[in-house]
Amino acid sequence: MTLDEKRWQQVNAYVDGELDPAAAADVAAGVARDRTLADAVAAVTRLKAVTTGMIERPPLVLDPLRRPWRRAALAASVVMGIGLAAALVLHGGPSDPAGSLTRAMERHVGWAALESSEPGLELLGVTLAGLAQLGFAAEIPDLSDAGLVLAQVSVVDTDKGAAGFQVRYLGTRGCRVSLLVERATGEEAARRLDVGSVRAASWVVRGLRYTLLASGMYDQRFAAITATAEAASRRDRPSVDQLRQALRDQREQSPPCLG
Amino acid sequence: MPIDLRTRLSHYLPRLYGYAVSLTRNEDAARELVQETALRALNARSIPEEEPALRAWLFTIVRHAAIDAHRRSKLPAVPEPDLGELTTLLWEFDERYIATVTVREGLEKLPVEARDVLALVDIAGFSYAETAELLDIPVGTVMSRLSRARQALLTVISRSAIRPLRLRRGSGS
Repeated sequence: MTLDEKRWQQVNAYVDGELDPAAAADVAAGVARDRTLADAVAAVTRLKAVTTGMIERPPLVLDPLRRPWRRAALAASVVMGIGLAAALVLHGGPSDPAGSLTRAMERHVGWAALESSEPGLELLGVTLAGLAQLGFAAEIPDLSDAGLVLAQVSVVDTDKGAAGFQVRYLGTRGCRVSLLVERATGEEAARRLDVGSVRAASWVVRGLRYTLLASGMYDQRFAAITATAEAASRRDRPSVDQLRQALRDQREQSPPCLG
Repeated sequence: MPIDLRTRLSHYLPRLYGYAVSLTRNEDAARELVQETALRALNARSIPEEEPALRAWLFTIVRHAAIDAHRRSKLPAVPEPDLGELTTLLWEFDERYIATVTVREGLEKLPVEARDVLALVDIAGFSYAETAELLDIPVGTVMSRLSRARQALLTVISRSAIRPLRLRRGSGS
């Protein structure tokens, strides 16, 4: 079923309260007998409600929602290796920088090692509701130009029991990228860590620590994705736009993710 | 009088900020724009007495400043997205996809003209007539521009809605 352009304009004006009484009554009568019209009015109403309310969001208030992380036994041995290696190769951070990065690596490796569906996969609606409750002050970057599709967003326990987000992206050539967002306790220098085939980068913006991880990814491609995610976390849309081509180029020039 | 003006200004700051974010897509730049607007209002020799006129005046300052900043940045314009047909496909997908995360993502993919009219009506709260006056265009143009902007936004959301996927490992393209 379709609407013509004039009817669509009327639907919008109806939702905005801009129709005169006769025209508004006409749309209201149409809603009662025409499912297509009713659905269109519902969609525009919801769209307007979200747009109107999205700017005046409260500051980030961490939600009491907590979910235990189901660590994949398959990845246990890899994780142990990461813990040992991190102490040796970490660079650029404060005196105890290994904790957050290695924990994020554990999560990432546990997920990336899974061959098929994960029992803990959460429904999108639940996730969106959780994000809304959190005020959604954290930025989840759109990495579609890098060929990465947002596959899962979940609320997880993080360091010291605080809640955070774990965002997972899937590529079409075996790439698995995770982004962990959690509250930072203070200013931290940006950090990079490579352990075996796992690359990690973390930075802090507006009191939130973002940790990006990828398995077996070509270094320059990971750098482009990190730069994009970092710009997105600063809500710097122009820079994100400028980096889109780099994401596409790096994807074309990079081999599939291995490891 | 200065205290009174500050009080009047503070009432508009959240929506001025929201409007500025919509235009710039950059929260830091938006804060600067609002700050600049507030300073300009506080230092102005005369400001509109009536609230509707004051509101229009403030939003016009933000709008012009955002346009100037965009021109200075020489950033390429966001291209007009393909409009989806006005079929049930546009609004029959799960309504939970019309959420803050998807709408924000969708707004960023709209050209500034579409974001402008959407923000003036939905975020700033202007009527069609007020928006027409502010943009110096006919009311009918506001109506068509706004409906096309929402059509484009729904199109973007319906095409890129976040969906849970079954996690699969393997080769692909």
